[in-house]
This record gives sequence, C-alpha cells and structure tokens, in this order.
Amino acid sequence: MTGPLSPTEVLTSLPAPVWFLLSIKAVGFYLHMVFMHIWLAGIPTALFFRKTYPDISKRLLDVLPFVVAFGINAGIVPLLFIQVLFANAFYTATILQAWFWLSVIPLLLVGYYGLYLSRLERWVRFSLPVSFITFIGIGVIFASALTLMTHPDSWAQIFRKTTVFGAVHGFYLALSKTAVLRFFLTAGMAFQTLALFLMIDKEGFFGSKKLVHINRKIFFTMYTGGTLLFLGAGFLYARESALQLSQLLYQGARFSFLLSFAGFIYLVIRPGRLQVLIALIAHGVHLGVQVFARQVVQYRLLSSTSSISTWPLRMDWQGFFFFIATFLIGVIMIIWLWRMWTRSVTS
Amino acid sequence: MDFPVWYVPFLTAPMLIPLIAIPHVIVAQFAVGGGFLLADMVSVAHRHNYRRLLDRLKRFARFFILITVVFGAVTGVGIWWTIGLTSPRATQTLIRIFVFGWASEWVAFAIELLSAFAFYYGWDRLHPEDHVRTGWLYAISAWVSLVLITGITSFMLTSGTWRMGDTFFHAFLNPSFIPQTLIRTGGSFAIASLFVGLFISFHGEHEWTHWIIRRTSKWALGGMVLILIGGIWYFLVLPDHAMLNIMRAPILVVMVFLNFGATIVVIFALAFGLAQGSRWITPPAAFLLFLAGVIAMGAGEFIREGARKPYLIDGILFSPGVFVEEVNSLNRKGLIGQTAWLQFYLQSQLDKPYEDVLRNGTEDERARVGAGLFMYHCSGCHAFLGYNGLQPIVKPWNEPFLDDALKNLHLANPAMPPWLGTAQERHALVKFLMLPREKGGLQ
Repeated sequence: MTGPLSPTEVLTSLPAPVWFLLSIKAVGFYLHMVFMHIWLAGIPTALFFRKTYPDISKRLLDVLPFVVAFGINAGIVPLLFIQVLFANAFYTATILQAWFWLSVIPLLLVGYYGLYLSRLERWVRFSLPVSFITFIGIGVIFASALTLMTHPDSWAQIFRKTTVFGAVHGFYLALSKTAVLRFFLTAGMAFQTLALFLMIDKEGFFGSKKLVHINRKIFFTMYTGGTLLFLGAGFLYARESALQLSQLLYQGARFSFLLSFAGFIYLVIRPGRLQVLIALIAHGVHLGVQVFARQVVQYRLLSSTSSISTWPLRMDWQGFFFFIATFLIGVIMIIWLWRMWTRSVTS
Repeated sequence: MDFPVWYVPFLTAPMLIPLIAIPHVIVAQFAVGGGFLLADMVSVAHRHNYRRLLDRLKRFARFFILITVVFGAVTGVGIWWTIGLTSPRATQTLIRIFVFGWASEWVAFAIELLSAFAFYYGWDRLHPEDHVRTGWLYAISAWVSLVLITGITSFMLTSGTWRMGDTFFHAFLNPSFIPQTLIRTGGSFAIASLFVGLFISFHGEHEWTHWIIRRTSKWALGGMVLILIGGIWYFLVLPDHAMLNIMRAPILVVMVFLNFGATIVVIFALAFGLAQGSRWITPPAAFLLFLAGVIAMGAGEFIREGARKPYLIDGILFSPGVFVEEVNSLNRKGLIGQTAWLQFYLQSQLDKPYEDVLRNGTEDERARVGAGLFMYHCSGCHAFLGYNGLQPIVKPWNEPFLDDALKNLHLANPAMPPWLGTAQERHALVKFLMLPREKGGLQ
C-alpha cells in the first residue's frame, strides 16, 4: 500500500518490470504465431489440395479446428500485454479503423464454423472457401492494425480523412505497403511451418499414419515456396524498416533462417527421429529470432509515443503471485491431461 | 481523453458491447453449467455402466463443444475488442489494475479448452475414471474462469473502498464480487438445464430423457437458490447511485420486472420438471422456457450496466472516459485543452484558435466547437438522433434551460456525470444542440 495515486500515475506505471512484460508478450506471441502459421497456410492448402491430394486436405481439416482454438487462446497473451505496454498506440490505431478491427470477430466466427463444417464434411465446397476468405481477411486486418500502431506519423492524415466533428467514423483500412509486406512475410513463414508440420506428421510423430504414402517432394515444394515468399517480402520489408534492426539481429535472422532451411532439407533427404528433432529446433530458433526482431522493431518504433522505459515500476505482487500460482497449477493440469491421453493411446 | 472517439450514428459505439456481450454471457454461463451437468451425469453413467445414457450424453456433448468452444471463445475475445474500441480509457484502467487476473483467466481458459477436447474426443477412448475426472476438470476450470471475470466486472459496479494504487485483491474482492459470483454460478446451472431441455425436445423421447430432465432440474433448482441468495445480497451492496438509477430509470424498472418475472417462471418450470420429468418437454415449451432464462439473464446484465451510470468504473471513471479526480481540472482548464484529438480537429476546422472562438466567435463557429464537444462529452452514451438521442430530448427546451441543465447535469439526473468543461465550452455545446436541424444544421 502506498496511498492514493493520481490516475495518470497508475496508468503510466508498470505492474512488473519491462523485461518481464516484454518477455511474456513475446512468449505468448511465439505460441500464437506457431498456431497461426498452421491455419494461415493450412486453410489454403486444404482448399487447393482437396481434389489433388485429398489425404493432405482431410488431415489438415482434422487438426485445424484445434489449431484455431489454441491459437485464439495463445493470442490473448500478446493482446493483453500490448495493452499494458503500448495502450496509446494500440487503441488509437484500432479506433482509426474501428469497423474493420471489429469485423475480425464476425469473420472469425464465420471462418471457424466453416472449418468445423468442412471437418464434418458438410457443404465443404462452400464452407472451406468461406473459411479461406475470412481468415485471409483477418490476417490482412491484423497486419494493417499492428502496422498502423507503429506508424503514429500517419494517424493525423487518417484522422483528417475520417473525422466526423472531431470523432472518427472508423470506415478505414490502413492497408499500407508495409502492412502488405508484413502479411506476405508471415504467409511465407507460415508455409515453411506448415511444410515442417506435415513432414513430421508424415513420419508418424503425431500418432497418425494418414500421410505416410505422400511423396516428400510435395512438402519440399511447399517449404521452398514459403521460403521464396518469405525472402521476397522480407527483403522489401527489411528495406522499409532498415533503421530499426541492429546488424547483430540481421545476421542472427539470416543465420537462423539458413539453419532452419538446412534442417528441413536434412529431414527431407534422410527422414528419422533425430532429423525431426534437429529440424524442429532449427525452425523454432528461426521463428524465435523473427519474434524477437519483431519485438525490437515494435519497441523502437513506439518509443517515440510511449516512454515506457521511464515509467516507474509499481510491482503488483499480489496479482503476480496469483498468476504464478494459477500458471503452475495450469502446467500441472496440462501434464496430467497429457499423461492420461498418452496412457489411453498405449492401452 | 487520450484517444480519438469512434462515432457510431443512431446506435452509439458502446451499444455495440451488449450485442456481443449478452450472447456471450449466455453461452459462457451455459459452458460453465453445462460442464457441471455433463460431468455429473457422465459420472453416474460410468459408475453404473449405463451405455445408452453415455451415447445420449455424447450427442449433447458434441453440440455443447461446438457452441461453447467456438461461439463462447470468439465472443469472449469480441467483448475485449469492443470495449477497447468504445471505452479505451476504462479498458486501459481495468487492464492496468487486473493484468495478472486476466493472465490467470487465460490459464483457466487454456485448461478449459484442453479438458473440453479431451472430454469429448476421449469419450470412447479414455478409461472411465479418467473420463469422469476430465469432465470435472473442465467444469471447474470453466467456473474458475467465471469467478475471475466476475471479480473484474463486479469491480466496475462496486469498487468499494479501493483507491488508485491499492492492491489487486482489494479490487478483486469488491463488495458485489461474492453476490455476483453466486448469481452467475446459479444462472449457469439454470440456463444449462433449460438448454438441455431444449436439446432433448428436438431429439425425441428416449429411455433416459425422463431421468436427464429430473437430474438437471435438481442442479438448476440448486442454482436458483444461489441466485436468490446472491440477488438479495447484490441489492444490499449496490451503491446509492445505482439503487437510485434502478428506481428512477423507466427502462431499468422494466428490466427489473422482466428479470424477476422470468426468474419466477423458470423456477416454477424447473420445479415442475423435477416433479414431472420429461412429460412437459415439447419443442415450443422448452423453447419458451429457454427464452425466459435468456430474458432473465439478459435483463440482469442490462441492469448491471445501466445501474452503473454515470460511471464506467464505480467512483473512479465517468462515462465519457474522465477520471473523477480530473473533474476540477477540466472545469478550470476546459475539456478541449486536455483532449489532443479534439484540439487537432478544431485547428483544422477553425480560422482562429478555439479559445478565441469560445470567447467571441460567431454562432456557427461556436456550434462547430460544440459539435466536437458533443463527440467527446456525450457520444459515449447519447446518439444525436437514435439511441438515447439528444435532439429529441432538447427539442422543446430553450437555450437558458439547456444551459442550466448542462450546468447541473449530475443534479438533474443521477445517471449523468457532472459537466466536464468550462462555462464557455458549455455554451458552445448549447449552440450546437440548439441548431435548427430543419435548416440542415452544421454542414
């Protein structure tokens, strides 16, 4: 207890150290990104392989509803902590394109139910394309909102275009060149992640034998396509945000990408348990470096509007310990569920 | 006032919240209550090896998963989306106070999802004991999620003795936390039971239908007891302004009657269900009863939201997104001076500084400033024309009367905040509200 404070003092103080808040946001985003990659690349793959490779399509439709469920869940973490750290920028960017931002919810509902319908093989010709369109739409809206958030210099112009007596009408989508490049950069990585996921699935690591007979070349092509997209969009995007990344981070991103590429090639050429592990670690590092770089860029771009490094720390110990206790109980429950599930498989 | 205001004509932006929040609350409480009902009935079925009952329950569980995991989860996130767009300052404040409460709720939600999937997809695969345990794990994690969210929403209605800078649990364990938890827990049993009735009515008579209805009715009647205890307690801890709102506002009086009426109908129906089993279950009857449950729940949420006015967070933040501590400063220095986006707008619209316009501008210029003030002071609750529309309210008034009403806003109506600005700003708003619309108003 420190006695009454002014609202400004409370809103511009931090409930935990910046490094902790940024780390938990990054970890949450990492988890969210892995799931998001699988649906972002998985839905178009399921759609376009429906006739040519129905087994891949069916397998993807088996897992996609779960992937979306856990992806939404994991997305809560970065969304929560972005509002602690960068509330000003986040709310302003989303209010300026309010109707589009709000439309994420109905789009997600429609797209998510579309996936379930496709999984249940109901109206697949209709439901799967609808899911594809809605999830692409959501991706574009997210890229626009989060890009606009880090470009406060463009807020005034949008405000002028959309103002109604000082308020905004919210019918504006800030689909800038940077936002489009970010979307394609993510899409490229998504196809890499999906190719790895399917390759591991083919090797039977997820307990399914549905993809055993599929030629590895398909996954190789998928991975290569994703890589080209990633490199093309990444090159242009890096030029856009060149000042924001240190040389060390650039080199780290390059190295981790090459590592991931090599890991995947090794897995395709000589599939095996060890190779799966190597490819997974390499790709995990690649994604990790991307997430880290993203946090650095965001933090640097927003330091002009939000001086969080100077905010006083008013540690919320009660809340913190409560969260840690809940988290530990949660981890125990997950381990228990996992053990129970694997026991049921073996018996 | 650090954010631009999103203006939604006719409806007002905050009215988008109930469009998402009320369906969500119903489904979320169904998710909690349904979890307990399923876990209980599956326990009995496994204990006595009632295979046909298990088959019946599996059909319901599939439907349950499709509703709760998708609609419940997405609309839950949707509430966050809308409150961030419509009341960013309140959202920012709540997140700052409860950030780790929300983070804990995320953990509970993750366990809820995992156990729900394990429960349904492991139906014929898990050992019966494990299956039952998974069902209870789902029910408990869903309830923990309910408790955590209730701690936050109840704080918005009754912040109690909490002051800025006080601790997490001081805010969380606010006066209406326990009563609202009891109401929501009870409501979740009742709505889930009514939903089971509705589901069964569409799936024809079955050897277990009678048993299911009697069993779920017991849970629901237990829930109604919780609602009664929580309801009385709730009214005892409501702040004075909230009680006054409930007694004064016609819409809230109607909602209270709807809430009580629908609750009584549901109690009788459940008691009847307990006595008669499935004999009364037909699709129209089950649907009407479910509708009564939805009305009771929706009206309850509406009362909670309506009674809270003029605050977004009781005693802390007024509806336009202004902290109570900021009122004196706003009255002295003006609303525009502390609203960057409005200043920016006025700079681009006026040929001279807004201070000059407020002092000696033309009527049109002052009305233009007044329009901006309307957006930042009023549009959080009032449309110009439409929901809570100001134009029809002020139409019969003259300028001195309107100016006096604005000056004594909080005295004239306890659901209104005090005037948040200078006298000159108030006059500008009067000019805007008094513009003759039939001549086109502001262009």
